[in-house]
Amino acid sequence: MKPVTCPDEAALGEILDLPAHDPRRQHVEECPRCRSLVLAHGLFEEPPQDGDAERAADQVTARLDAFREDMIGPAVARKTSGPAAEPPLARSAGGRPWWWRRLFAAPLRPAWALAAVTVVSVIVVVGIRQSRRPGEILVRGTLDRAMGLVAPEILADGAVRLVWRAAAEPVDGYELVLFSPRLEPLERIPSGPDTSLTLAIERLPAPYRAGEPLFYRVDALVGRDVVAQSQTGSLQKPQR
Amino acid sequence: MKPDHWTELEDGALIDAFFSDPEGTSGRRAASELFGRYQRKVYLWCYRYVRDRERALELAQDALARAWRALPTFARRSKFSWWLFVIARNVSLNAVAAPSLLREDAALLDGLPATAPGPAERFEQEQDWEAARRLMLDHLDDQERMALWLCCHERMPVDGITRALGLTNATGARGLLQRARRKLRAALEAREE
Repeated sequence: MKPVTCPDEAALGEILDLPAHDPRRQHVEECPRCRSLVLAHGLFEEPPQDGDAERAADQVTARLDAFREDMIGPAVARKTSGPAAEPPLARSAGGRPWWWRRLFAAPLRPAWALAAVTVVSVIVVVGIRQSRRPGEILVRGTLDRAMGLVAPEILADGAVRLVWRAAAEPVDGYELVLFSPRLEPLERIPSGPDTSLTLAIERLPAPYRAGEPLFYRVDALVGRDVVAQSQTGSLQKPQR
Repeated sequence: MKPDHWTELEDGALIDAFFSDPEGTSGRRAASELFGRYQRKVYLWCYRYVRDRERALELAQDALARAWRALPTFARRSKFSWWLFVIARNVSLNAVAAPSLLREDAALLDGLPATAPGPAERFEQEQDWEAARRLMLDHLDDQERMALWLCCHERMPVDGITRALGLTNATGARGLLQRARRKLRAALEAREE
């Protein structure tokens, strides 16, 4: 074999797409190091035939999903993660049982909204009291009391202006996270380094426009990492 | 693009979607769908090396986090699956000790009194993979070479090597590795003489 320098691992994937007569491809066929990497990739791609491994993977599926969603955000549908995968968060109303639809029928929604606001407020207040003692160091990515929310302002054209105080630490920017009344994340809206964001009525989720309450939170970002979060605030379209 | 369509897109289209809006909601959703497709493979890959559920989870999360941080630099010259595999492989390789090229049970010898190193020990101490590759090319057949390289360089467990090489004999890759090591030691001793 000719002494050809092995490509680095990342470039090897590219070489596999070359025609068989290409010298770099021939090198891969002949070199134990490169061939072993290709064989290893084959094992990575194929489903395992190892019951222990499959069971272990099933048991951690939900934790992997949670980790990924915490890191990146949710995919629209969680369909790919194997038998133990949780059901998707967003389901059509038609798929819900009758008692669910009756329980959350339109006349009862304001009561549920009020209950949700109360529960969230209690959780936030209790959480702050229990988790933040005087002088305690702020852990990255947790609630930042410096990032207080100012009461949302509803403008004449229905747009909503949200204002918050800057995070305690320097950050690259902020991201607004909108939640449904059941606290399902609906959308993440980057706002750049500004500590305010005005959203036109069309930009707000349909449930808000239909009169349902929304919850929101502001995440402070350094790069792609969330380093601090505001409390959770609520938002409801005023009745005209 | 309708949100429901994310799940129907191929990897390349999801990468396109990510790069068209890397900081925004749609980019993140595309990336989340893409990572969701591979997270189980990454976990299973890590599990092969450590055979421990929690340790494999730590490694898989480490690999996925590295990939997410590096995604904006993904040059798209190779497939995403290859790129992610390389990251998972490197994380897994760092988590396990390299097996000896020439001895099967190196750990058992650790407690023995030191003796003058023989040709095999001296060869190993040099950690010269190019020399090892030449030696393997000269003295081992193709299957022995691949088995030993997968074991020592890829640090792959014996059952993984057995599957990678499609071995169906009773001892799988274990017998092959023993034979390959024996041949290499003999070659080094002959070279010494």
